[in-house]
Amino acid sequence: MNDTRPVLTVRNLVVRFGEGCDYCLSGSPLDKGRCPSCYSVWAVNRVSFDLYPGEILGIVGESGSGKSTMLRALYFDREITYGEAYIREYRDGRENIFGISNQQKRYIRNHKMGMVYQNPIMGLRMNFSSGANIAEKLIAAGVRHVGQITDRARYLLDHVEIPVNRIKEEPKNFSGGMQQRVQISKALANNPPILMLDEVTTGLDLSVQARVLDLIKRIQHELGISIIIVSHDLAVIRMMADRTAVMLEGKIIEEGLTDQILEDPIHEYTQVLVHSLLY
Amino acid sequence: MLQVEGLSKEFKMHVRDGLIIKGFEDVSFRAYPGKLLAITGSSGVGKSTLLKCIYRTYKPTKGSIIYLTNDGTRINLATADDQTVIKLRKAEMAYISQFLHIIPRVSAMEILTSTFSSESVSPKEARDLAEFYLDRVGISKNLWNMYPSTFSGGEKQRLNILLALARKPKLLLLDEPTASLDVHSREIILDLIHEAKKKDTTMIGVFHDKEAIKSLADSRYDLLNNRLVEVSQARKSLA
Repeated sequence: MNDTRPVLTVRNLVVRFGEGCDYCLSGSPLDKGRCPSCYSVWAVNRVSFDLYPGEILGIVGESGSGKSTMLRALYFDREITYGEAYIREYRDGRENIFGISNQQKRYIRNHKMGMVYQNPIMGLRMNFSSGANIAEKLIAAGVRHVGQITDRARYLLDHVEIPVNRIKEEPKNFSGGMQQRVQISKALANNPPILMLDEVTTGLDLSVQARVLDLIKRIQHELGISIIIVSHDLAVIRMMADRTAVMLEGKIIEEGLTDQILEDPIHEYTQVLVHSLLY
Repeated sequence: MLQVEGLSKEFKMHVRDGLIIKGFEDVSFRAYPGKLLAITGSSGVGKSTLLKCIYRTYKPTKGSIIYLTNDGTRINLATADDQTVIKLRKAEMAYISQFLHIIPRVSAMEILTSTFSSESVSPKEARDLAEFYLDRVGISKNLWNMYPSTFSGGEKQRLNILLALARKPKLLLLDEPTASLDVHSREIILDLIHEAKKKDTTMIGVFHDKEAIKSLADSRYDLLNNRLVEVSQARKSLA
């Protein structure tokens, strides 16, 4: 029977820079995400959301809204202040992943979540071959058979349309679009149920963006993986996401079907954002 | 199989100091399998707004939209949760507008093959289906591996319809599907819609095209002064 429970549940996530004070800890209004009393910055301010099986969830907002900080916090790249997150495929979603050991966090990063960064340097070892980058991920997950590692690396790179004869080349010699594709293949190495994409097409030439986005859609269609895609570009979100959450000053201020958010926004800020689009 | 009762939609425009704009008010009608219900009215009166409320691109302000799903469940589309609507859009509902929205730099063949492919349809079968339907709608073979952005308006719209019908929707919402089309493209699209009718698809369509209404509509409603008025016997009214 299909399990329709969310694959990822996030509740009350906070990433705060500064100790906080009685004013901001009580939930009083902040000034653009900063406490007017103690000047603590609430980069992610009590965020809650669910990611459902097989869906693409878009997180959109302007620079400084907290979307990338939130994503990186979920991937343990950044410490949180407090909050809870549960992954259905990890201990049946019964354990808060922010409370587990570092060893278990590494397990989750290797097996349950894949991450693709805007800057490929953060996700790839530029001085390893593209094949070795994927092998590293497989070995971290306990795969030891050289044949299996090679076959899997070839399969993944072929899947992201990297020619097999370039498997031994280092990503530093690749174009931006190719580097992103190697990152995607590395992130998928151990079949994680969740893929997180942080501004993956920002900075790419327009001509390359479309192919990367199409690749992500095809992968999602083939694997049924659940994806969180963070972007400031509403056109990307419109093209990719089933549902969208809008972030402003660390909070999710509106959430719904993507076409509904873009064509029938309720919140004042979302209306301003949507009516600012150039197309 | 679709029952709309007391449906209303208004928009609150914060960008205009909270101005309330009325889309339509207190709309009720029923739509049936294998029948096309046409909605007509002057520009800006709320016809597309009504369709978008059914598809849940717009969230209705009041009223209900009771839809009978493939597995016999009655769902109120006006208040259903997002996951339910997503599932229905993927499996049973389709919306066709005048515009083709696809990722650029992907060929027509790739788009259609991807649409047809599923757990039960192999990549080769999907490709064969894509070829069959591209040929069926008269898109020249030398365009199959081209990006649809290079297509004419008529070719884009034929592809648009194919993408919607490929999933064999039970409920099809048509928003001026023949607008600005040449005669040849129009005829192909009307044929495709007729075929879908024979397969018991429930259809609600917004049309300015009198010939299309005459050819397709089993009933017609006029949206006038934000309210829906039944115009009995569509073909008689256009005779």
